[in-house]
Amino acid sequence: MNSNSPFAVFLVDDDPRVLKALTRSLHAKGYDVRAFSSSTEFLAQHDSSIPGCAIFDVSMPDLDGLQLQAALSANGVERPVIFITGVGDIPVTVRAMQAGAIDFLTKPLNNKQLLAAIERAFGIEAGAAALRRELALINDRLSKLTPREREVLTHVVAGRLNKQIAADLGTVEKTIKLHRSRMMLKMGVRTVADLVRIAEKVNIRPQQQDATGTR
Amino acid sequence: MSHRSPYFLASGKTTNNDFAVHGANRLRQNFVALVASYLFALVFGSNCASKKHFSGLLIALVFWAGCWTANAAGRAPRVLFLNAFNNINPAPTTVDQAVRGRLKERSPVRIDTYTEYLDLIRFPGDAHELRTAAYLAEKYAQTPPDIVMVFADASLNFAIKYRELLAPNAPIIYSSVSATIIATIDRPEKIVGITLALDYAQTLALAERVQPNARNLVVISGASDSDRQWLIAAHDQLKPHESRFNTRYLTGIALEALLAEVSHLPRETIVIYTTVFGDGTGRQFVPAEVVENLTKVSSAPIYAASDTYLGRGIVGGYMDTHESMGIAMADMALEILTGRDPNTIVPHKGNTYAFRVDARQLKHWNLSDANLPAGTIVSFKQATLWNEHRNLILAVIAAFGLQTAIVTYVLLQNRRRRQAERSLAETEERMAFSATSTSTGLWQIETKDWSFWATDHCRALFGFAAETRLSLEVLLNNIHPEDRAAFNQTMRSSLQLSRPIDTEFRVVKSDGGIRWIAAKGHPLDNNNGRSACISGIFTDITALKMAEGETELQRREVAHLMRQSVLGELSGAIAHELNQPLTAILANAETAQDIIGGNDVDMDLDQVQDILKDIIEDDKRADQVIRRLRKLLKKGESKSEPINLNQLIESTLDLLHGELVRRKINIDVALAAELPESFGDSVQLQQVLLNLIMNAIEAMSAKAPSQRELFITTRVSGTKIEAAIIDCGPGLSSTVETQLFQPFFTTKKFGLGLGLSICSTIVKSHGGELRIQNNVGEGATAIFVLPTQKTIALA
Repeated sequence: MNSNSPFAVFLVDDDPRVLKALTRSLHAKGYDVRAFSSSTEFLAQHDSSIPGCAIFDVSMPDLDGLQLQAALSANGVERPVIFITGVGDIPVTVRAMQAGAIDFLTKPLNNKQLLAAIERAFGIEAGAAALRRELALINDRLSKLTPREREVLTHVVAGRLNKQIAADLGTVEKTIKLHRSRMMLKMGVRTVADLVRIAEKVNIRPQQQDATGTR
Repeated sequence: MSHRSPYFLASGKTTNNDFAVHGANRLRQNFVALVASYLFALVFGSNCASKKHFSGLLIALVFWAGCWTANAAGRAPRVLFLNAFNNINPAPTTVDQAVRGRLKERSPVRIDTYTEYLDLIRFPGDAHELRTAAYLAEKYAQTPPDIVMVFADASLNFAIKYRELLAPNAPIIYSSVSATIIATIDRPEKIVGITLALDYAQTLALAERVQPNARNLVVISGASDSDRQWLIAAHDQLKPHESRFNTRYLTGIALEALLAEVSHLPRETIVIYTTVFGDGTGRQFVPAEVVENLTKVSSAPIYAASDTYLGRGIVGGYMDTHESMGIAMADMALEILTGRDPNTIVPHKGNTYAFRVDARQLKHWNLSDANLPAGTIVSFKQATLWNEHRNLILAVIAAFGLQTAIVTYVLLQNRRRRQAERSLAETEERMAFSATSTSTGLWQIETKDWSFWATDHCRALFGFAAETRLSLEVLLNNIHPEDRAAFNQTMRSSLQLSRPIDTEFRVVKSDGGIRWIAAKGHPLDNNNGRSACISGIFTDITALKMAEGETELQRREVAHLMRQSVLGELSGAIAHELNQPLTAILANAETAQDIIGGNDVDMDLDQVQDILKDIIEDDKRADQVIRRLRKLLKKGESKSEPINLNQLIESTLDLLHGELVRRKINIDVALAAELPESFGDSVQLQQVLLNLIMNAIEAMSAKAPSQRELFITTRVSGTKIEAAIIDCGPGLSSTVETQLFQPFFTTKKFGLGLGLSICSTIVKSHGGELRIQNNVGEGATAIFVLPTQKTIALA
């Protein structure tokens, strides 16, 4: 159904027959399924740049599903993970969910549940992809600022006036005004409100008020 | 003729010849004997004996040739012994008796002897002498003595004084008269005898020998005339020696004073007793009695020179014996009677003087006999009972010993017999008791008619009534049909091969109840080597069998519970194993449905075929898991089936797959290519494998997942096959190793401690062996050995 979806399903199960059946099933549903018969194979071969979700069998030799998720995350790959397990083990489930699992499904798998989980994961993956894109844009823009402009940015998002900023930085208002307009231009925003929203996204903290300046 | 002796009357002849012939005949015999004994004495020694016999020989020779002076008279010669004292004086009496004994011994004819007691000391004075002489003259007027013998000077005086009156021609033979007195005799014609020489000097010498430290000498003497001569003799003899002593003469004092004196003498005093016929008060005594009293009270040893006193308390002295005096007198008389002229006979003092001591007194005074002069005759030696009666004692001891032995033997025999009887009775009782108490019945089968004898208890085992006539057939009819033929066969082959019976069978009682009986027996051979009967015991082992069954049941129950428990532990892994195929099936089925339903699927219909194939395969896989579980969970009888150990291991690993994955165990399996089959119960053996593998997994739980290596291998080892489960855990501590197979021993927090105990039991019941040992490096190895099927079949 989603043959044109940009997302792939990364499936890891050490049982080849289960792997085959699930791959076939998901493939029949139109998903782009990338099947791996072990954790090590997955870690070695999968392309982290392809968006999509992962389905990990919990009980596997070498690295089990949870460990695989941790390993992935340690590599800086944020991907929604659905766990499937032959046995409903509450402590394992809790750990998996705390680690940010989309879902924890017990075999034999309910098809609807699995598909719902995948869709939810794709949704999350889609949102995350938009966010990633925006952040990348912001960071790109930030990288184009001069140090003085970036300095001015932190003062602006703190809500300070040009005159105050000039006093803080030991320059004239006019110069600040110039830096400010260039900064706004480079950041692609027209209002301070927009700038503040962007700065929050990339965790830029507003400049604390200087003690001498406020008086 | 009127004076003929009865001897001659009896012979009826009165001729000299008769006597002579008779005497000669008798003497001839004696002569031969005497010569023989003389020669014997010459050859073998004893001086004394030779002298004695020598004189005997002389006498015999005299008789041989001679004639009897008395014979002229044609009657028995008469010897009158005049005792100056009375019959209470021992010395003259001893002499008199010795004379008579000697005469009787040496004379071929009878010699009439007479003794008269003159009692001259107690009745002193001429009146008594005259009266006595007159009496005797009248008395012996018709039987005048041929010889008169006198003892002591008083009677010699009497005899000489009244010689004309009594026996004018009879020679007088005296004794106990001192040579001094003899010398004073006016007409010594036909007066011969043995002079008395009391030797006080030698007696003192003896005393000095035994009392070398004595410094006092006391001489005791009476106050009568008779005493005086011996006092003088003593004085004369001792005078030369008195200088060496502090010498005292106790003489002429009252007896009481004398006794008092001697009782206060210093111990180192030599007391010489002469005679005390009368004391200072004029009282008369028997000297032998006086010395007896003196020795009783004396505080020093007393010596004397007369053997009359020997044995009456004196230590001893140098002395002759009165017996030898009598013998010498008798010999003189015989000479005279055979014709010797008395005047030619020289008086002598006797030749048997010697030192004589009383051993009892030596001992009493604690005097050493070591210093006694050589040849001292020691009388009254207190011969030990042994010395004196050695043979008797030996005989008595021997007899006693023999008797004791016999009595002991008899007692022992009796006791043995009683013991045997008792032990036989006890044995019987014990046998009966033990036979009954162990539910054992005794039986015997005769082969000639197959009749069957059994004890009451044995009958009870089979439920036979007491009056039932038993035979092998009756017995067989009561045996369980399934066991009957086998039992019959056992009996008959036992008879044929003379082999003992040891078998078990069931008996069906009339109420339908079944009892297990163990039979033990052995055939008894008769003379021609063929078995005549079989006898043995039947033991009721029903309880044992039931207990065995119960134990087996309980064992199976526990084993089952353990399997359940293991599977419980494995439930997660097993659910996973089961869920895997189910997951595949479901996914495949849904895909197929989608394809067939045409629900916007990219797949072709022909893929459905492939999907269905997978579904079937996965279904089979699920089915296998379920079968395995069912098998393990089933409670069943033990089976005996061929076991492929490799397959069993693989199947077990399949079952454990999930667990192994979950526990991150790296497993390596190396199974022998051509492993022979074993034989047994696959469920039980799989339980063992499960347990061992689970233990190995557990053992490695503390290790890092990447280091959890489990190695399972099988191999052939001789006639056995072996499986080894090798882990790399911490291994076994030494305390654990020893208790490993004990029930309820566990190292796990929640373990029951039954796993290995049951495993061991199972493997043993398969004829195998289970051992767990530490590896050289790390970890432990469980080795599980099973005999191959072939081996079991042979066993």
